[in-house]
Amino acid sequence: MSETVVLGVIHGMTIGLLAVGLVLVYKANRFINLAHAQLGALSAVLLAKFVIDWDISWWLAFPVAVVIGILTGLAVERWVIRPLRSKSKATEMLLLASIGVSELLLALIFIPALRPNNNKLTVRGYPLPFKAHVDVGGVRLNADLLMIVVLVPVLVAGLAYFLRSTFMGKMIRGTASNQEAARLCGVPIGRVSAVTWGVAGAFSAVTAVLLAPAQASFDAASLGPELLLRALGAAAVGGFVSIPAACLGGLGLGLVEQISLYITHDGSDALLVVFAAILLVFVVRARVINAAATAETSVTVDRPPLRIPDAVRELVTPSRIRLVLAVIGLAVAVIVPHLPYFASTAHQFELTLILVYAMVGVALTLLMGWAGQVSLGHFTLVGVGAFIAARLSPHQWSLPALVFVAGLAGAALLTVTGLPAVRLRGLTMAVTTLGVAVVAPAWLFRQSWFGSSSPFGAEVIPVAVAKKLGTPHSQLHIYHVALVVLALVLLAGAALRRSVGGRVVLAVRDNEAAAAAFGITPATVKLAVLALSGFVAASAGVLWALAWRSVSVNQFNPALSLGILAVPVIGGLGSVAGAVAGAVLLYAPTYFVSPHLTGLFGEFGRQAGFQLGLGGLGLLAVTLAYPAGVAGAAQRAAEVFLERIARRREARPEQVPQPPLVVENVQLSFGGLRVLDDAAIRVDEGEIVGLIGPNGAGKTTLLNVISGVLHAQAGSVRLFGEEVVDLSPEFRAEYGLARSFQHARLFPGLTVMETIQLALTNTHRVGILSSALSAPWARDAERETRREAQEILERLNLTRWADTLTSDLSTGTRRICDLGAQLAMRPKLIVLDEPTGGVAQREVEMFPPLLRRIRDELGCSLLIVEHDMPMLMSLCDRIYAMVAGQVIAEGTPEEVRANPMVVASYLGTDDAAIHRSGGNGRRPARTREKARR
Amino acid sequence: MTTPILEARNIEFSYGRLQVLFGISLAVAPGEALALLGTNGAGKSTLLRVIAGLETPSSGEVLLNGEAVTGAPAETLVGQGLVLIPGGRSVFPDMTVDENLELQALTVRHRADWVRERLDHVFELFPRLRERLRQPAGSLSGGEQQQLALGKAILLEPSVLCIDELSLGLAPIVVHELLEIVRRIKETGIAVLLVEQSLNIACQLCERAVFLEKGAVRFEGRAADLLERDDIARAVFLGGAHEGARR
Repeated sequence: MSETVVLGVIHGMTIGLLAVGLVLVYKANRFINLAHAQLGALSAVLLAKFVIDWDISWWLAFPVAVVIGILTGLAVERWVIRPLRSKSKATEMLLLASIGVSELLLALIFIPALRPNNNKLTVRGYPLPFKAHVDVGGVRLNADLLMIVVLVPVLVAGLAYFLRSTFMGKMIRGTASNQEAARLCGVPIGRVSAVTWGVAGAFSAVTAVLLAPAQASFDAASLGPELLLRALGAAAVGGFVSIPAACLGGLGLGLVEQISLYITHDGSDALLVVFAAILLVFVVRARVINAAATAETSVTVDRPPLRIPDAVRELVTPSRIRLVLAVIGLAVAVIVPHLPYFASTAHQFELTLILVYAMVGVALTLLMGWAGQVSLGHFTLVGVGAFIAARLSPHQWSLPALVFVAGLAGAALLTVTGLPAVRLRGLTMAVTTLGVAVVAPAWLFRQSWFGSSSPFGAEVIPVAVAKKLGTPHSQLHIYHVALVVLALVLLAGAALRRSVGGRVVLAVRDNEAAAAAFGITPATVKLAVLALSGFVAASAGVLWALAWRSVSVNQFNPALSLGILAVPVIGGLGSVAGAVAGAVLLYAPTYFVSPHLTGLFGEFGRQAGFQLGLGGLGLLAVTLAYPAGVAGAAQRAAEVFLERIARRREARPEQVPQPPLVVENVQLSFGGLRVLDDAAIRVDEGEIVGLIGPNGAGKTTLLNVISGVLHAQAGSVRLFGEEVVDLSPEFRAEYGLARSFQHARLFPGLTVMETIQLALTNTHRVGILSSALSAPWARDAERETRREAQEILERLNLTRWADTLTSDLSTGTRRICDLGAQLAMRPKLIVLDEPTGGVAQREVEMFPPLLRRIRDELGCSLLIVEHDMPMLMSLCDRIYAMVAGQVIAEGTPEEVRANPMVVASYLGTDDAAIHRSGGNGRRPARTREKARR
Repeated sequence: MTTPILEARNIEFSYGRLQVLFGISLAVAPGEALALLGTNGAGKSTLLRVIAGLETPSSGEVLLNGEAVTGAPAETLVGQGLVLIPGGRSVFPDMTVDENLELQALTVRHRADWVRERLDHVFELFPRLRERLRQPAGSLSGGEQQQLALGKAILLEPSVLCIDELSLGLAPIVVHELLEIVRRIKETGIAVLLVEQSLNIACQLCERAVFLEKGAVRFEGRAADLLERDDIARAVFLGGAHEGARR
């Protein structure tokens, strides 16, 4: 018995150490850092490498490893936590991002270059600083356990002291307690957050080094969900904020586990007891945990419905788009397994698995996207379905019956798991589902009445689809079955989302109280979603079983449940089609690309490492940069496309001619500096308008607002009568707007001809594939493009430069080439920013006649920003003068030239300065001005 | 006129696309108490947040003692003598009263003697706080929390004290006590910018008042004159009467 206690205490200490790390980050950032154990994983691996491969002393390698842990923590804070926190207050986003971080860090330790030599590691074991042992209560404590016994209390006490008594600790707690009040006290919150993560990184590094000797190898499982679950339970004892309580919780759980092990002699039974104890903690401490962890925001970024321009409304409807997408998707899915590369059984098997992952992704979308609950155990439900299928398949069940029964079991399990979480979003559900993910493979799947503890697993007998439809035997047949099931799930999901049910679910997610006021019972709705999601995930398990032919425990590593969270997130939470796309994007490269990349993660980790790396990157990219995921990106692309079609259709009917450009009341400030203040200008049909003003008057800014590079904070920009102030630059081109930039850099590696052809791409669209294959239509388009480009070059007298690289042109010629590129877009309004800037005097003189000819031939209008007064005087119909973001004068060139305000603020009275064409004054500009008169 | 201790010039501010403040200007003279009044959603609290550096204005200037501090983050303004008591939650509920005060003294940590002196002064004003030094601030009553907030604020002997909704959610008797203390704070020469919904409270304390409506200044002048402005008084009192009717 005394052995049990000693082992329990030591085990408990390691749990407590991890729990304390969770508490530290929780105190500072109010979220459960699922990546805590992994922050230090790299340190532990590198320490082994230093000592084993490079023969560095442990005592030197250890501090280096801790520093690496600190740097990891700082990097995560700087590039993940800080940007995310400034963007949204959703703690679930942080939770998902931390899963991404943990996957990325785990992928890192698969890289062979960072790992110690595996053979040496196996022979020598994980490096230890000394060789000694002490016998306590019948247990021999070797160096690894001695370090735990000595270091853990020191570390925990040190951290508690740091937080409680040092000023930095107080600043950390203050920032966590009330961030705004902390700022008002002068607390540098950025630095405080960085210090917290640095400490967390150091802590995690030490933890990983202490735990490493007990781990066989460093892989996803060793520091993964099993330890995490226990650490969460321990941290929950103190409501995630108390360090002593977390420590005691760890000790308690360690003792509970060892004592149950002593009684039952069965590790999986002991784990079950531990899980029960953790659930008990959550029930008993519900009030404290609730107070600490109420998530008010939902994890989903809802996409507005697809915006369809009026002009194409009778042509395109959302349902038609969905139909087209579905048909394309189905066609691809049907054709792919018949392609030469996929024609092997192994590849078709992997394709089926992708479909299963897609179904789990859809199940997660229902739960996370629609109901706002995070599940860390969905892959376990696949296991439940798979084992039920294995058990029932010999009894000649038909496939639909199997799917139904497995689905019901999954629904029941997830509903029960979610019961404690019905009142709370986020945390509780995450912990209970993680518990299921850990306990089910360790206990449920090994029970003889349910699963099988045989390493070969339980055999699955192929089942008939229906009485007359036969039994799928080949992988291809199974793939087709899976495709049909997935299609049905998608249809059901899409139908649900647009029905009463879907609306009710979203309403409950967004505002329970208000939903209740409409007569909806939130708890019932949540449980219904849980049941549905569980049903879908478990029925995917039947397909899993059919594909694998045998179901075994090791197919359901709890880490998979964390990994698969990336699928709905990458897809864009809330979109069922997105979930399918997410599954394809994550697992297709894993199965079909990673085998060719053995160089990166080594033979050993190529698939696991690749998948972790890809999933981690995907999770981080989506949470940080594109919360709407693939679905959002697709929707945006569709909107751009529809907008373009609508533009074309609208262009047809003759309308009352509208002025090409009307800018009114545009306001724009950078910080406190107002750059545009009620700026207003107008360009009429066929006009050439100049815009002058001192440096910093806001001329270029105004052009940026007009072209959409910058967005005005208020005011209106109308192109040919259409309001475009909110549109991005690519839309504005559709209105016939072309714009040159102040520094015409163009594309240095392209010739003049190629540059113009590039600009013509938009008018003759040819896919990359068609041009690669030299399809006849592609060649026609190519010929047409070339002819048009030649025409433009002739018009601009550029023909002799056609095959010169643009980087070899003089500045003036390059600007003309730039102009040619603008012309290729057949603009109706050209905006030029200092076309003569940096151009030699001789070349400047080419511009006015050229611009006028372009205006006459194309029938377009021009807006020009220039400092060269003589050129503007000779060219423009009207001129605006800007000072300090305001338009101070407007009129014919002569009027503006004579305007006293313009003279005072811009021109000055020094004629020489005004007429500084080209800067060398070789040719007095006044003569030209006179000539023009 | 002497340089205003705090001045806002043409402040404009938007939350995203929604503009909340439209060119607001106001000035607080040293030692003066200025009331910032207005209906719900007039932009009073937002203006205070802009002044204290919690938000960056889209245009306009904030001057502290004649020096431009526009866009300076809140963390740096404390050291320059500007302290804001935000409305609602302004203490660290999970930390003891002691720790609350200690964090507030962050910027003057090196002057331990001076801090001790100031603490004595704070405890003189709020003897309750000394009794509850070891208690988490979250366990104090609403009035005591406001006392702590005020205590924290004057600990640093700021030159300007901005108070957002002193009376929010407090019993009248508590408000009365607090008002008395704010009056004493003002007498020590600290300028006060007080945001209030209640006209009466403001007029008791402040000589001058600025009245905001829909993000713009509608009235500026002697607080007493404000009471005579029927249109404005009605805007406020009607709101009050409305509430009264609901009770």
